[in-house]
Amino acid sequence: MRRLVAMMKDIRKDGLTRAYLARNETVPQERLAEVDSKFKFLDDNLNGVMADGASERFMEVMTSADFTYAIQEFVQRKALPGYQRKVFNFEPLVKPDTLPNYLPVTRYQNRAGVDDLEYVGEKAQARPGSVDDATKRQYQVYRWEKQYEFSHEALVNDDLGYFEDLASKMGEAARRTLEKFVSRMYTNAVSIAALVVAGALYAQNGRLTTARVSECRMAFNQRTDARGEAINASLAYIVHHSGLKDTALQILESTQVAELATNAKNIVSFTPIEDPYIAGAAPNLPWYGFLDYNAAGIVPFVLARRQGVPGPLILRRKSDIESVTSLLGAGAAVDPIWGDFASGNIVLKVVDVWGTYIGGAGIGNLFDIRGAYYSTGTAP
Amino acid sequence: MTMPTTFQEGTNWQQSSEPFLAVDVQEQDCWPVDTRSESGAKDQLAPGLHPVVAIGGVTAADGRPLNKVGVVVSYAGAGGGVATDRVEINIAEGTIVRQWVSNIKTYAGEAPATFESTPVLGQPVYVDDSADLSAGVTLSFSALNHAGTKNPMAGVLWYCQDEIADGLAGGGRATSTFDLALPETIYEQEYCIMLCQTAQEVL
Repeated sequence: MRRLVAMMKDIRKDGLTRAYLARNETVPQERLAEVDSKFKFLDDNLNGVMADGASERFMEVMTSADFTYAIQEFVQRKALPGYQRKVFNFEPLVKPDTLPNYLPVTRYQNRAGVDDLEYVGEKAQARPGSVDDATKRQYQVYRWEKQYEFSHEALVNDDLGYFEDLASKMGEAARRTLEKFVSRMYTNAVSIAALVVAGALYAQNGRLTTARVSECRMAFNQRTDARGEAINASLAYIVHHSGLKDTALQILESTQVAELATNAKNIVSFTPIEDPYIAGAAPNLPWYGFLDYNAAGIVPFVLARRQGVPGPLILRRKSDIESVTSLLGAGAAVDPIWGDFASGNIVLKVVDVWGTYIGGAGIGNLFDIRGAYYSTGTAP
Repeated sequence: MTMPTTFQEGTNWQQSSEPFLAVDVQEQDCWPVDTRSESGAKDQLAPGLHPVVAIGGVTAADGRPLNKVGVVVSYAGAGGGVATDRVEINIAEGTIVRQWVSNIKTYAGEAPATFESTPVLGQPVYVDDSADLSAGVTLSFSALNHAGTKNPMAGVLWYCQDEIADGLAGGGRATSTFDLALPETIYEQEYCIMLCQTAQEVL
């Protein structure tokens, strides 16, 4: 404070000197002495040495509240991190395929062996056998897109970087959409109906328990080919509603078959996969059984992608603006934030390409019904 | 029933990327907005609000119902119904926007008489300045307002992008979820509207 007062004194004296100098005069000494006197009065007060001065020294009286604008308004804005998305690891359930273009492709699979041998008598001829026709499956890929359009002003004004993670969000949206797409392959009503109509070896109503998992396993063990011959099929994955996560883990951890009230060793083994997109209300939560398509040659579902598009692409409409210094001179590219010439809009879209087998009534999306098992989860 | 007192807001009002043809209009030339409606107390334009409005005179003598109709894209001004505020309006036919629509179909004796209970895709909707619409609603199914004056056609009902069936490609909707049923009483609901004024001249 003393420094401020001293500085004010010097400024006042300098000001007086300049003012008189402008009139070609010399500043009177009494004017300068007056300034010194006033400074001394203030300075003595500040020092507390004034004999008969104020009982209290001058003190700072300025508070934050005195500054309505400069220091009173507290401005802090920041964007908090968004939610973490729940991931559905569907990859083990769908056999990947790559298609060259958007046209339907055809896949053939021989789903039966040939005839058993027959006894023939002496001098007899063997009777003719037969070979089954292939099972024909056709599918194609489609584009899945979403477009976002921002004004130039919105992006410039975004001092928080609110839109900065938009690209990653768009990528996440593509993944999430694909996860829902895969989930729908078995949760859609047509696929479920196909399993239910196939009978007890393909569907049941029981809630997820050790015994029900065993029933599912036994059902897979009884799978047969197109001619009714036994084939290798074993339960590998239990896909369940999110509400069954603990149940699935408990079944895996159990050392006994609780439902049988015995201490028999738990032989249930499977890999649980949580599907957050399965709908259901506790306690009636559905679950599904699938096999490993790599091990058995039985493909429950296919997920086709187009060649050259293994994942989502984020595309931006190229700005049609260039900056110039003369009407016909060469132009230079400008930052994308200037958007398009007409409106200043910045346009983005996320693109992905995928598809699956869509068989219609009686089949749904099941490439091969032998690879799937369904339970409504309604029966206690 | 929902009675919005605020014009269409939020970030999902835009349902088509194209076409786009923006024109500058002054606030005082948009209706039904602010005092320029039968109620005299319509919502006011503000940044972030996107109503479908008619542009020009509100009386038959001024050319109604042959007004141009569009959707407010952006608004720059102090609000409060300042007549010279600048409004950007997309007047491109074929633009699809989400809007509040009243189910009033006809008026009798200056009161709502019949209501559209079975709306169908492609059904015309009109800019209606009647006081029976909430302050945030500018559209109804009525070709005449409650005073019997012809309303400008705004467009036709259309699918929102999340209403059209996509089961063909493995999407989640085997059929359209376009709402085909409304109550037989006065009711306001969000629908998507494709701006088009093909019937304007024959009115």
